[in-house]
Amino acid sequence: MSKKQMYPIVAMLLVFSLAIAGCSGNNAPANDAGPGKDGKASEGGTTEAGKKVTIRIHLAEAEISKEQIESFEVEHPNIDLERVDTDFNKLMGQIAANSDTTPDIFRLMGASEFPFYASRGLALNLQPYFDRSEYFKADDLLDTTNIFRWDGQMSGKGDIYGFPKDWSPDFNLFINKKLFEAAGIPIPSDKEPLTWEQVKEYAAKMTVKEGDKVIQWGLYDPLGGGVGLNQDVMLAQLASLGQSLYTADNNEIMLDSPEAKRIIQYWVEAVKAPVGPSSLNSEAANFIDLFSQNKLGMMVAGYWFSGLLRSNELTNSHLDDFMMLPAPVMSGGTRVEATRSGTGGIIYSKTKHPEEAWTVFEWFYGGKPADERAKSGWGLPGFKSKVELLPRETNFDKQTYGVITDDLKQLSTLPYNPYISATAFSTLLDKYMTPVYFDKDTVDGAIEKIAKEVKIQIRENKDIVGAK
Amino acid sequence: MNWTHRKRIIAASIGLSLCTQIVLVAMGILGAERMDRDIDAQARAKLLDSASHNVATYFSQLASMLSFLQSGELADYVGSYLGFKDAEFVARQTDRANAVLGQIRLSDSLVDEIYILGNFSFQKSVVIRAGQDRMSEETAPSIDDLTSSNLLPILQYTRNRPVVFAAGELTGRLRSSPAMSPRQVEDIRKLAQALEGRVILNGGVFESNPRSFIVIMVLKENLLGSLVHADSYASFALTDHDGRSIGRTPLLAGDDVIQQEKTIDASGMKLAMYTQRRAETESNKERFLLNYLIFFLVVTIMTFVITFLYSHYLILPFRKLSHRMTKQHLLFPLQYLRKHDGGKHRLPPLSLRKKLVVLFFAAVCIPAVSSGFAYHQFLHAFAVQQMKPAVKQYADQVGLNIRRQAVIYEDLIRKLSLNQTFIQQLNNESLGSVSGSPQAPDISFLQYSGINDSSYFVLYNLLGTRIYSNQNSESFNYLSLDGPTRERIDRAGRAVWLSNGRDLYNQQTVSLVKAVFDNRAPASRTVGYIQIVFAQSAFQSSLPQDDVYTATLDAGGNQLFQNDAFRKMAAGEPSVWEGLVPDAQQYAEVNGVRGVALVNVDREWNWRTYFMESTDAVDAKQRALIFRYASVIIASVALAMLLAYGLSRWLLRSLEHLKLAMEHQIEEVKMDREIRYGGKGRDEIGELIDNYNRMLARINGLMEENIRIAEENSLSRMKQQELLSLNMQAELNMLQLQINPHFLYNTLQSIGMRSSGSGDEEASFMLYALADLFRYSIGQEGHYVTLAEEIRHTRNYIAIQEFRFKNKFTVEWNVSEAALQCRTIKFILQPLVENAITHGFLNSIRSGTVWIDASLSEGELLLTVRDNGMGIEAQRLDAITEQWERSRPADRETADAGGGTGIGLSNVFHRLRLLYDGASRMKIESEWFEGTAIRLTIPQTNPQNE
Repeated sequence: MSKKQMYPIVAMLLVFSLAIAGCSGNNAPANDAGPGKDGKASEGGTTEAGKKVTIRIHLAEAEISKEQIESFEVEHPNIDLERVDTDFNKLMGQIAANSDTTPDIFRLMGASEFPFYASRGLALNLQPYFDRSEYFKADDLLDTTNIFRWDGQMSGKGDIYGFPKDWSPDFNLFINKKLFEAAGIPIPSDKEPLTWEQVKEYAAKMTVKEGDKVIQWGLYDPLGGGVGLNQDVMLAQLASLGQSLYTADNNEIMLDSPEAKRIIQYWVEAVKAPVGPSSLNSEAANFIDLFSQNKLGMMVAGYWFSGLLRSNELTNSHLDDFMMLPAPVMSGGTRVEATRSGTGGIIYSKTKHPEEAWTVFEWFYGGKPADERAKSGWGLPGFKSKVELLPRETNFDKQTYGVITDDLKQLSTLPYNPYISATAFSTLLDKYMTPVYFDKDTVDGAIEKIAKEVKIQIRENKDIVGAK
Repeated sequence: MNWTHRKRIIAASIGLSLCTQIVLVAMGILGAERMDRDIDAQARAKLLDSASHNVATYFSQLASMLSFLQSGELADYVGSYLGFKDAEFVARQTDRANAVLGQIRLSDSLVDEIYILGNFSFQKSVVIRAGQDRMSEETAPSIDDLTSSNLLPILQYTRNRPVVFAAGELTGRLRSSPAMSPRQVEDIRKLAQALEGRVILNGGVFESNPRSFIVIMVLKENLLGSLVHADSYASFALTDHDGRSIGRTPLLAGDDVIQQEKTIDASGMKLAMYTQRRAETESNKERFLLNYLIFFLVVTIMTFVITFLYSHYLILPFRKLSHRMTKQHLLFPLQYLRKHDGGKHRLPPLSLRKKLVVLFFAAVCIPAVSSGFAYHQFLHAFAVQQMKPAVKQYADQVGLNIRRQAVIYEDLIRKLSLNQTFIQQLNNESLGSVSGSPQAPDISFLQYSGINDSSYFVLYNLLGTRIYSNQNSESFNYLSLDGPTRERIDRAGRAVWLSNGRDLYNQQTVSLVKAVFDNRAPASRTVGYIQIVFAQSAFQSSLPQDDVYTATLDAGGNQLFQNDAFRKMAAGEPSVWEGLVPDAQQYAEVNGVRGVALVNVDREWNWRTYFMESTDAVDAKQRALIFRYASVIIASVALAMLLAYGLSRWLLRSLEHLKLAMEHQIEEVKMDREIRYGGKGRDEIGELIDNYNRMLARINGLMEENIRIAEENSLSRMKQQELLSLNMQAELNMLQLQINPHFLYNTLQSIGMRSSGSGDEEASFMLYALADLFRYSIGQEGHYVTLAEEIRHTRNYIAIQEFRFKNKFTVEWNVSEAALQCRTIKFILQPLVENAITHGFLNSIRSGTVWIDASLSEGELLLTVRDNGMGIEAQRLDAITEQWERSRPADRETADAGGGTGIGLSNVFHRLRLLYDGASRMKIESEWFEGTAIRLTIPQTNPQNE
């Protein structure tokens, strides 16, 4: 009888297993092709994994190397360091939109641009950080660093808000001795400055045309984009004549003073001659190519240009052909050495991570990278103690070192107006001087327009910051 | 309700069938639902992929167009201080710039306006609109104006990505600087308005002062609608990474909208697709369900009918048997049952169990297999129907993609035709000299969109001779452009697609040819032709792959390009094109591949794209579903077998018992001959019938023999011997038949007791009567008995007859006390009564009475049996009487045809004469229709029997 009972049981099992197989197939995930949202691209942003923060620093690609970033991140694992390119307009847009990706550390010209940023309240007061810093010792700072000081009205004094990356007095001349000789001009001394008038004369001699095309130029101001009126040189030249560009209350620009007019006229003639590339006479090659290919006689550049010459393959084999001269003076005027840039950094006053930003700032502007920069000879450090790190080996080094230390004795600060940004003023000059270069307007006409606009812009900026 | 066997069988069978059916229908419906969902999901995924590909391709093309605008001639133009230059110079420069602009087809690239703005108002800006082939003369703001009016920061912030500014977003932020003239203010306001509400792409301020410029492209309205195929069932929305809308096609009506998203590129641009199912797909589904359910119902009903009929035939023999059993007792001798004639079946007859198994098996299999088959057919048709609208939608989208890709290639050749290196080379060739200073070759084309898909390009001079190709190969020396082709190109005034190119591997491919103009000369003139021969990869990224087959033909019917799948399938057969109606979806089979096919026509360029989406995936899914289906059927069949087994056991249990009991009893008595009817009789019912028949045979035989023996009970030696021999005959017969009469008598007793025990009192009484009858007849106590005993025997007989034929007759006794004690011989009264009953009533519809009188008179017993039955007609009466005189008692008399016991009147007559030596008398009187009376006189003193 048990055998008889077995068969039904076995059959039952068989049936059930088949039934389950049949039914389970039916209930298999029916959602394998259901509608689903495709993955969204995740935003690149500040990764808040643990307490890691991303600090963005404005720097050009050549100004910070990958090794430097990596070594920093190893020492400071809670910080992700990101380099971003500088762009004034984009930055203004980001600030206005309160963007998440607004950089934390801005790169700007301490001399010409810092006052504007400070007046807008965009700079973080770094005095408390400096006071407790190991790197930034008050008595070690060169006077130049005062360009980053702000007392609420003027730059040059007060609490410190930034620091230069490297700087030079910017109105020195670098000359190509060979071209001087070819043009029959005696090699000037590096102890006595030339006059600007001499500079124009020599430049005219060294400008060579072939048919319609100029194949060799006499003068180039790289930070001014060639030859032409720009604020920095004008300020230096006015200072040399003992004049300032703006009224004492900074409300107006004084372009119609005789000294100013003289300077303006100077540059208009320089452009029209021509003595160097300008909007009137375009030059496709850049200033480095021009100088290193012996197509340029004189360069208005600071000590940092010596660094360029040392590293450029075309020039570093015959550095003795080049020479650094003191800044020219207006005839009848005094020697003025000043920086027009003083590229450095400030911390955005509205940064979300001030402590971490300070860590980066301190490291980059005062730590090892600062030493490395000083040694490279690309500019002067902000620290007295690091001046001796400048190169002094070759003849060229010695010559340039001599001039620069001389410069340091004649340093002064140019009186930039905090209520108009350097960029804005430069734009105005482009706008109103270009017609003059093309003979479409007179100097007086340009002066009038510029002065009017400057006054309006100053007023607007003062209103924005609530200054009187 | 009375649960007869038949009803139980029907219920079990129907139940099994229904269960199976329900499971299968549920499976079928779920399977179809899933297939429908899969088809829908796949169609949506493909559509979204294709649409986003097109959008991505477009924006990448746009980015490359932006780069193009930012380089070269146009950038120079806006940075050349043209405001200060003389009119002639300006006009020349403007012509050159226009020559470049004329090559950019704005509307193909879905661009409405292009602004290239210089930095100050003394720079000449470029403004060009779609439909114009030269820059417009209108003035435009400068970058300085943008800065003064506060428009620049937001443009800088949103540079290099498509963006839409809402109305008021730009015009609302405008600041007017006092330095701006009214015209400048107006220009700025116009620009701000022109930019609002449209998708714009700006490249930001390029280069720094003083030659800076900014390129702003304003894209076509309804940009998205030109890139994706939107209709009332699919709608799209394009958003940037901030979620701001860049484009939107008309919203869908209705609630049941599915949304899907895909990220277009690294900038976070997303395309969202909203789809709705068409009403017709819903109605398709409903129709499928309806068809399927109707089929299910039909099959169920059919199964029910079959079950009903089959079960009837299954149970029929039992019903016959039981019917016959109830009627049996009316007949004597008992009748045989006829079995079903075995000769009719071709198959060997099955046991009842197997028949039940067959029934259940059929009940499960018929509906399952038939609905499985129907399901397969319905499902396939359903799947194809559901696929069709999706295929059309997809084909339309792919059509847009193809067009976009073709536009990119045309753009490429236009740019190449502007390449100065090539122009110079062609110029040199046509002028027959080398001129101009060696310039660095312009290889900027290496980064143009679409260059990766080109195999090589060729420059031809005006006569169509190849003068340069960027692939140097001997096999390319043959390349040339013939006259008709050159004419065609010249007439077209734009790039022309050719289908007879050969790529590096000598495979047929598509190529694009265009005339090259030198725009530096005073007037633009043709200097030659440039041809791009594309690689096999051309167009592939815009085409679907895998299970979709596409090929595109130009207006002349030549094949331009195809996707890999098509190439493998068609293997160069042009006939695949036959029979397809444009824009109508058809189910087609080509080279062994089945699918939904249609032809999509691009009416502007007259390109026809053959598009087929194979149903392989659907078929594979269907096979999987059918396999599952089959496995469920098998499971059900196994279950059915199980049930059949169980049910049949239960049904036949009672029958088994009876059969075994009967077999057992029959086996114990030896028989000399078996009775067989019909076939081998292997089914239970057959065997039962056999046994039953055998039993009846025995009963019949027994009764016959017994009554005959009683009849021949005579005292004379000869008669005794005859009697003895009769006896012996009877015994011998019985011995032959191997029935022990006592055994039979006992058996009858037993049956009687059993019947009594199972409550069947009547049967028991009958059996007892019968047993008594037998005992009386087999009793050995001699020939003489008392009348009382004879009367008792007669009463038994009468009782049996009364039981058999109810209400047919009544008997009235009139017996005196003295008569009871008289002596008589056995079997004289009962035959007379039998005769009276049989001949009097049985064979007629009459019922009547039998009077039996017995009295003693003058030492003689007078026995009268009288009836008022049919009577005997006079002639027959005489015959009977005569027969009595003549016949010998040893003659075996034939059984009375009326079914009597066989002991006839003549028997009585002879025995009486024998045993009383003529002292007895027997007289018969009868009248037709009146009755019959038989009188016996039996003397009471008989010296022979003392």
